[in-house]
Amino acid sequence: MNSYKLLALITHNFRLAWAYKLNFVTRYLGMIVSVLLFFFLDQLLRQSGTGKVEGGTYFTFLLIGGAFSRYLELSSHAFSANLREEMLRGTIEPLLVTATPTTLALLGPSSWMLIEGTLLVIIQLVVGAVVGADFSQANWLTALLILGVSLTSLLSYGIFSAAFVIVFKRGDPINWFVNSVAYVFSGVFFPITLLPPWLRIISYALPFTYALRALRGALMRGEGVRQLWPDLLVLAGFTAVLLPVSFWFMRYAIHYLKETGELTHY
Amino acid sequence: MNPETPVIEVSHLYKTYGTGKQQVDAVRDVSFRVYPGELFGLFGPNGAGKSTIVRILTTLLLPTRGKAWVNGYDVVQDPLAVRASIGLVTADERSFYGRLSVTQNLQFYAAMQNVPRRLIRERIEYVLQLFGLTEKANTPVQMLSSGQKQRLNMARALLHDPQVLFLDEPTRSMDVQTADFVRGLIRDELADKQKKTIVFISHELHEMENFCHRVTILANGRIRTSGTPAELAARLPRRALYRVVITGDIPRIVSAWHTLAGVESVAEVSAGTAASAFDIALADDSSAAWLEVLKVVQAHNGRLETWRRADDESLRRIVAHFSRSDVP
Ligand SMILES: Nc1ncnc2c1ncn2[C@@H]1O[C@H](COP(=O)(O)OP(=O)(O)OP(=O)(O)O)[C@@H](O)[C@H]1O
Ligand SMILES: [Mg+2]
Repeated sequence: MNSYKLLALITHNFRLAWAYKLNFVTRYLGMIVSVLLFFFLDQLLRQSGTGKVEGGTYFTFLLIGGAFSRYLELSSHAFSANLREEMLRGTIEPLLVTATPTTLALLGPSSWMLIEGTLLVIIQLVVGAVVGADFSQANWLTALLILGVSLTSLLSYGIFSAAFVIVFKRGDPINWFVNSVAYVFSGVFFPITLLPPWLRIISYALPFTYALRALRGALMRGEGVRQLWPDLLVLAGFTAVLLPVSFWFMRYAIHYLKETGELTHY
Repeated sequence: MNPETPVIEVSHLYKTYGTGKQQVDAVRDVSFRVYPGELFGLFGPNGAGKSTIVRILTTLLLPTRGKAWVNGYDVVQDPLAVRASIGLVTADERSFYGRLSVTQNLQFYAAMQNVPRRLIRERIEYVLQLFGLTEKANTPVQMLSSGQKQRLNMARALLHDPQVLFLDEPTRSMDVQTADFVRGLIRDELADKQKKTIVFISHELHEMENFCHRVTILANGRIRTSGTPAELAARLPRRALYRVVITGDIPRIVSAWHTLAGVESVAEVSAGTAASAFDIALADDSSAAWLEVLKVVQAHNGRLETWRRADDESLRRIVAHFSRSDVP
């Protein structure tokens, strides 16, 4: 029954996204523009004589970082933004009164965004490859495995931010954290080895760092599980801690919601 | 009374919002039962606690104390089972995806309500036809009028053919004809024919008299009285209402009337240059009180042109009476 509902949620939210055509198109256009930006940044670096980063071109490095940062955005923003919109629109109450488990009703509407995010990542990599990114050694199967494992830990950030929106009814600190901290410290745009060691501590506290490093290992240097298992293990560890905690916070948020009745207040 | 098992049972229910200075005791020790096929009205002034009770019964809100069952399921312990068998309509007509069509909106809610995929089309056609929205099937919801959205709201609540309906002011943004049409549907089709159990909240009292089978009147979170509209009318203290037409020094007569102990209220019906009409309510139906009223007219050189009894045992009066805080 719940998989039937999940499918309905995905279809429905695809229709909603499609109904806002301009937004829909700009998301894909924006992605292509950022590929171009990466391309020219790479050109700039080549002119100044430094081309290689972590055993590949800077373009490939940026492309992977940029694509993955879409997941960062999703995990920090998608769930809470979606939920907030449902609350503002007044559609959350009719959904909560259906025979759907409350957690599914609150988080389910974000399912399409997650799928679209994956789609955008794949398209971005393909467009990059066409423009000249070097994936000659890429180990795609491992890359997929890494994406899967990192998605679960990112999911917990999303759940956390959704719970935060339910309880506090406004933008959440997760969002701020990801936008200002994670981008800089997890190595989206430059290798974290450039950071002084004492700042690198922050990097190692972020699951994104490991996900990104493993992803680049697989896509740029063709590394497999045999080389990347430490990163995968750390990612799994993050998930093992963060996912239960986020679900616990979500349960608390639902209880708070039903205690106060503050469903559509803003 | 009714020998059947109740479909809805509410037992010593309390709901307190907030704490400290912000604390609101919205529902206090409310108990009632609703039986199969009943059209049960919840009335009371703004803030009486009607919506709070309905939100607890529809599992959107947790009670502070007390218990409630819908269809035999505990609303706190078994919310999913409760939700599978109920439909809720509120006055919030925003609650749709405006850019999607009527059908697309209903398709989504049908799936979320466990309507099997093969039945979805049939159910949507049925509810649209029931509420006269068939022509709007492919219209984006944002292009519907308020009244049409409100009908769509009703249609949505019936998609999964629930046995129990909670209607919280469902006719609020409808014009008079549409409201009549929808009330007719609720009573004749949903209650009488399909035998659904319905809890109905409304402010349209004068039109509710011949509508609900049984009503409960709430004020300040407490039940003040309940029964059939006729039973409640019989329970009112006797009073007398006179429609009089008088001439003379009208302002002074009226102010003198106000000073009389037996006069409950004076309302001007129409003012003319020569004669004016008033409704005078007397606290009890005694000839002595009526005589006092007449004496005042004479004392101010006035004349009683016509008079007649205009007693009014409407639900409006019943609600007004039982909502007063000084009525035990
Ligand atoms: N979420 C909430 N948080 C705090 N107080 C609330 C909340 N919802 C309702 N109240 C308060 O509880 C009391 C009862 O409200 P409720 O909405 O149940 O009344 P009602 O009978 O439905 O009134 P109306 O006819 O205006 O719809 C009111 O004093 C209201 O201010
Ligand atoms: Mg209300």
